[in-house]
Amino acid sequence: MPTRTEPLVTVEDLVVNFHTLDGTVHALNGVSFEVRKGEILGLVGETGCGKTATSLAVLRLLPDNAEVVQGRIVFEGTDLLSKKGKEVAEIRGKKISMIFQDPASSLNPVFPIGTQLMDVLKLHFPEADEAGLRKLAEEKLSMAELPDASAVMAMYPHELSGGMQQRVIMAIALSCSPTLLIADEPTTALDVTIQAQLLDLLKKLKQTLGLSVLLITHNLGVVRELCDRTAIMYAGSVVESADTDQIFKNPLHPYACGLLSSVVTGRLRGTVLHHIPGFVPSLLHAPEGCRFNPRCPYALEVCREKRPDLVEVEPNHYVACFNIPKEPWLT
Amino acid sequence: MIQESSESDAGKRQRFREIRVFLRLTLENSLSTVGLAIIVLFIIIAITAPFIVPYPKQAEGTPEIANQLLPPNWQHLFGTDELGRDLFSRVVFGARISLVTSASVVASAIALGLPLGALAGYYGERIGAIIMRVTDMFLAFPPLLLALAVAATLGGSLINAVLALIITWWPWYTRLAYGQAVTTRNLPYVDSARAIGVGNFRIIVRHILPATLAPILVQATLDLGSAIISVAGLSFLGLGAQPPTPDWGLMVNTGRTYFLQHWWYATFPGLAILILVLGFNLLGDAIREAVDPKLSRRRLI
Amino acid sequence: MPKGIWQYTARRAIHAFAVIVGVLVITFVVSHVIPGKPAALWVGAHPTAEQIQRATEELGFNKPLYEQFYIYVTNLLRGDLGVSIRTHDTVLSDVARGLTSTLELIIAAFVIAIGAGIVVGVFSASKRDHVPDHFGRLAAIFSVSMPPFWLAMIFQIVFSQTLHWFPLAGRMSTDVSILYPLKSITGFNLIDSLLTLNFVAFQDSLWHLVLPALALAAYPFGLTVRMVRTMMIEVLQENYTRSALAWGLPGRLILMKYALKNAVSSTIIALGMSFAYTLTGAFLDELIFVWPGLGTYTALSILSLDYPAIMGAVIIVAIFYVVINLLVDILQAFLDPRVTL
Repeated sequence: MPTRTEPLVTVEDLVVNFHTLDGTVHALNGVSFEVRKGEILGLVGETGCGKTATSLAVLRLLPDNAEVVQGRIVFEGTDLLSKKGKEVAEIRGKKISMIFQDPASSLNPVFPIGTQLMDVLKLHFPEADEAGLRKLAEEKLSMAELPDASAVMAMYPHELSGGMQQRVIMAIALSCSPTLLIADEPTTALDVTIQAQLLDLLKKLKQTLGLSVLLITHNLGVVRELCDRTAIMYAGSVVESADTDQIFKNPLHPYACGLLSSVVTGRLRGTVLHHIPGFVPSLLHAPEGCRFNPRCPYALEVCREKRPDLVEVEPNHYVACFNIPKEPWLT
Repeated sequence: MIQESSESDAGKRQRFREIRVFLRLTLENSLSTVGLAIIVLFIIIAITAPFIVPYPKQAEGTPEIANQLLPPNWQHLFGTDELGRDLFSRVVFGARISLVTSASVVASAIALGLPLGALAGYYGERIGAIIMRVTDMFLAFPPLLLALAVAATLGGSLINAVLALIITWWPWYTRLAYGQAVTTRNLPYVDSARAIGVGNFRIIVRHILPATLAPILVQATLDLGSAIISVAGLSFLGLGAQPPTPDWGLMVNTGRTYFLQHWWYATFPGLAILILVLGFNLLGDAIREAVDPKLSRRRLI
Repeated sequence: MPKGIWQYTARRAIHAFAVIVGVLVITFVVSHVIPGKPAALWVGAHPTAEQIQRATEELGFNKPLYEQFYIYVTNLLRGDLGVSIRTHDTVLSDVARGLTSTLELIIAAFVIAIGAGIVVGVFSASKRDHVPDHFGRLAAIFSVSMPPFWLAMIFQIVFSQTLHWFPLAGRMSTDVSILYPLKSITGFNLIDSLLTLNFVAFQDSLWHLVLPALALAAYPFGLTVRMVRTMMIEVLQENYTRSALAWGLPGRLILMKYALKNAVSSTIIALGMSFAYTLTGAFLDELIFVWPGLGTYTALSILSLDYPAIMGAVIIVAIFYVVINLLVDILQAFLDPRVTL
């Protein structure tokens, strides 16, 4: 497990608003984290906390009504948010790539797999001929552990199962050998067994390709299995990030504590299930200061006024809180 | 018996918000405002026609042979026809005919087609299949063709033209309502309503029908324009209005004989059709942009 | 060939057949059941009571309905559509004569409408809510609001009478048809003149085709722009577009290759609809440009109350339309393989 390796991409204090017909949604409220070389970082949080918006921001895929108010996304020394259109296109697929949640809708239904894969490969190998591209494409499909790659090449997306579709998507996303893969809930739409297989594949690919992965998920089990480090998000910002083991053993942010103690295990048989009282705030009218303060049992006066920054409380363990609980929550 | 709860306050507020958003989107669009303005203008003109027109008697058909085929001038803004009648007056009166006939066609088609489609979609199975098969038979015809056949059978008159169009138009609304009904019927909240014992009639009226409103509204607005052109087309072929009715289509038809030497005869009635239909299409198009959930604002390229 | 294409074709063909049966039922009802004295319509204008009586017996209108329907269908299968009151020829031969002429006009109009429509629609969608889009939408709405017969007449006055750019009416100039007679092979003047290397006739036919085709193309053009634009906008919002972008595919490629195919394959069905409007619009268009086709024939029949001819033309055109829809269905299967499921 890597301890202190250099960062591949750093998100610094990202603030993004969405302008909707109902008003302005303050979706991202100062998101900060980094993905280090060769690691899998898990970005965890409930639905609506801003994980997807953050990931879209990296590749500049935010919708038209999004406004990046401030922040930087540093990759290879430059700020991705300041790049022009053509420069961004250079990065997509070749340096940073992305896969999404619903495999069935992520592939174009009227073109065969082969065409879609080869078109992406052509970006990286513009001088290659048809036969060469085809061979390369089949290699990539095999790498994603698809049986009978040449048959798959001729198929249409709707002829494949969900798991196979997602493998194809992985093959396409990784075909130009990017250094960072952003995976937005890649297995949420799939069966648990397929999920396990795909995550294994991801682990393997990370090894063989030296890939770094930003894995977005709300499934803590997956995080535990797969991620080297974890960042927990709540209502638009990262509240805690550390090595996965550390976070699960010793969560420090009140929300993280609440979240992890809500996980149902066999040991809790016969006890009342724990839950965090209250609801996730609407991001149209978000609370002032720390957004968790209305539900936080440790809230201080200052929490209602100012937003806490991420502070390195222990080596490699960052928490954004003015009043970290003293006693450990979990036994 | 469990009483179906009336729409909660939150639900009502949501509805009002939707209506406000809808109105804002529609009216903010300058094109739709123009469309609406045109329609309102024509309606006002139609209602006040006998009072604002310079030669009301001629509009209804009284000839004035001395003034045959005069080009547009200050006494006759649009010129006169072959019987010396003032074309401006006749075109203005024609607005009444066009608005009334198209409204009749569309309203009747909806009155016939919407309930049929909603019933077919909701009940499905045999009733639905029968209704939809019949609908398909009608929809197999290119739109004006069947109207042509019916109008030819019934004989040329404005009423028969309207009837013929109603007969050809209702299936479109049935199909539209059917699609919406089927989608709505399968929604979870309808299932729940059925599960707690809400009667079929109530479900249809309170849930299915409102769901059909948005697409039907869009279609109706656009159809008002199409109906005007269709009536004009039938009149043009002699299957609609008969002389001396100041129907726009009929005027263009009669004008055809003269228009190469007397351009004004066919031009102005046709222009009136164009502008009024344009109004309906502008408005309908804008409503559609505002209402269609698939045309949301997520732009990527 | 997409998988399952034969089964799909068979299914659609059976459906088309059922629809044709429905068409026959409806036309039967219209011509035999609705009128008070159906025989009167088939005799001609101002029939005497005696003529009506004779026609009723001869044409079998006094027989029970199901028998009438049987006769009706068997006649149709034999190609007997009755005799035109006006031309005194069989309706079938009248219709056949005008068919290719009308087809040439419709196909020309359609090609113009679809071609221009797709270009404008795609361009409009890619520049959504900016000025080019507004122009595109305005052009579409205008085209769709035109009364087709009026537009044809305006074209005549402006481009023919005033500017003398194009001929006023007809399919070919009389002097050209005498001096450079065109041998009829396919019935399509443009093709025949090229096949026989009769370039004078080609240019003349082409020139005569321009105004009628453009006037007829207006409505389907507007429809196409509207539909392509809507479809394109939807496609550009889909997840697969977002994925393609995320993988580095350039926007232009996505627009021109991927999105276009998605949009067009969805638009195909609606294109069948706009073809229907082109068909009926052709009637009025032909009348005004004195184009010797099916439309003029029908229009003249209507004007002279030639009932057998009217019904005959209606049946033929309706069946033709069903066949076109069938072909469109099959075409769509080639463009969008999901359809064959």
